[in-house]
Amino acid sequence: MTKQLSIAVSGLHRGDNPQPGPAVIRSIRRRYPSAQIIGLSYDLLESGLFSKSDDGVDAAFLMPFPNKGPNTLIERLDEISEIYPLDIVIPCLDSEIPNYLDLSDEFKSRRIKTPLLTKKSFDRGSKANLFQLGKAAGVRVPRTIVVSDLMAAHKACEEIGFPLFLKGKQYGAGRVTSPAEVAYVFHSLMAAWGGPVIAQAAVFGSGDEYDVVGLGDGRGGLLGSCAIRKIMLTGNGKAFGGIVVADPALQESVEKIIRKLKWWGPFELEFVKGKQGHELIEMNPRFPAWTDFPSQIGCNLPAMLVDMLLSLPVAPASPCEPGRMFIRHNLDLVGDISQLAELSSGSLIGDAQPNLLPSLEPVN
Amino acid sequence: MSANRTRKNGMNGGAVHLSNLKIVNGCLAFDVCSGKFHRISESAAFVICELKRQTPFGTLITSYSQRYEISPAIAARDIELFLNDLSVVR
Repeated sequence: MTKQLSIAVSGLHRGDNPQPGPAVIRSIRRRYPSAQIIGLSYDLLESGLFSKSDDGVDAAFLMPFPNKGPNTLIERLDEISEIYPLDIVIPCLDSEIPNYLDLSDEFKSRRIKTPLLTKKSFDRGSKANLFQLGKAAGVRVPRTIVVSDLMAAHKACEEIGFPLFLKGKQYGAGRVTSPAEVAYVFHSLMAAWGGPVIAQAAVFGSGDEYDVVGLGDGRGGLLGSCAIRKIMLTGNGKAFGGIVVADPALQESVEKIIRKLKWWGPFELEFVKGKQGHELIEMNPRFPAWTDFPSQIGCNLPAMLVDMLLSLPVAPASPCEPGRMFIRHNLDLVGDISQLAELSSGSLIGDAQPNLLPSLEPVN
Repeated sequence: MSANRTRKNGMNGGAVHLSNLKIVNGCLAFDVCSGKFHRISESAAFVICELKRQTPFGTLITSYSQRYEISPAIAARDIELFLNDLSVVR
């Protein structure tokens, strides 16, 4: 009997702005069906807590919000590890990543594996630095100006020209079509997410949006990726449906960025098709919410990430076939007030039995 | 064919490369590069398939006129108009 693989995953809410956690869990279980999945939740009502399907968790714990800092995070993970010794933690929310980067040595000393992204790569791929990254990598990025106060925001908007987008450092964005709208959008973003705010030029062209999920090997190479055109959007612009494309120009842009950053681990690149081709508008340092779609068509990047973290040999994923598509499908999950009561005390222990089950070999 | 033609500026609002076009079940043209897809008529599917096979233009006009029982002149005009719409790079 050996210890069962225990993997903690966050970002469990599949609401109108779905988080990646359940998709990551489902993908991992395809390869590691016996893995014990520990949910890291920020709210009693995160929908993934109530799933009894293969995207559900075996146990869940309430977490301190990321703004509490890295020390609070590691203290909580230590508490969890006393009950379920964690082998791997996969943070799935943008706001969590800085704390995990700060704690890389702590994780190493505890033998907990987390994505080995470097702070330098993370910073270079951030919204604030994306324009410079694009320039360095030879990838078109809409003009971007970082601002910290309203006067600077007005100046940046005039310089870039209307319409344009004002974006929060990690989340949120608003389209601004005239000087009269600048103050409202700027203050909304500052109040919700803090500064700075990023002013980014709008892309003129077909307006088609493309997303690419991938996995970098940390040496500049790409272990696998899947590019989609969004064919259905939610009210806030998230992909509700997508279709696989095979565009060499798009692929080249992705490879240039990953090569330049020597990116390690999961990423999502968002492009808009402009008059002169694809323009990179955002890079996310994690799996997107649709990451289980490529997993279902032979490109299981979350499982490959687990392989990488376990130092297992990782063969590059085969390309996804153009024309394969996904449509999101929301269902109602049944819960019980007793689950809320249990989780409100800090943890929700399902049928999970720590350290009692035999480990199983990964299945392909 | 004309009734089911795509928009004026080409299938994707720009040039479509024949090599990127995949005809699905004879009724849908899918551009694997842009990810755009459109319903097309049976005759449009026929023309695209022939062009992808690199059928010479003269042969295409002959087979098209025979298949749809129209004169070669009308066939030639119809195909030209379709290709203009598609902005196909041959």
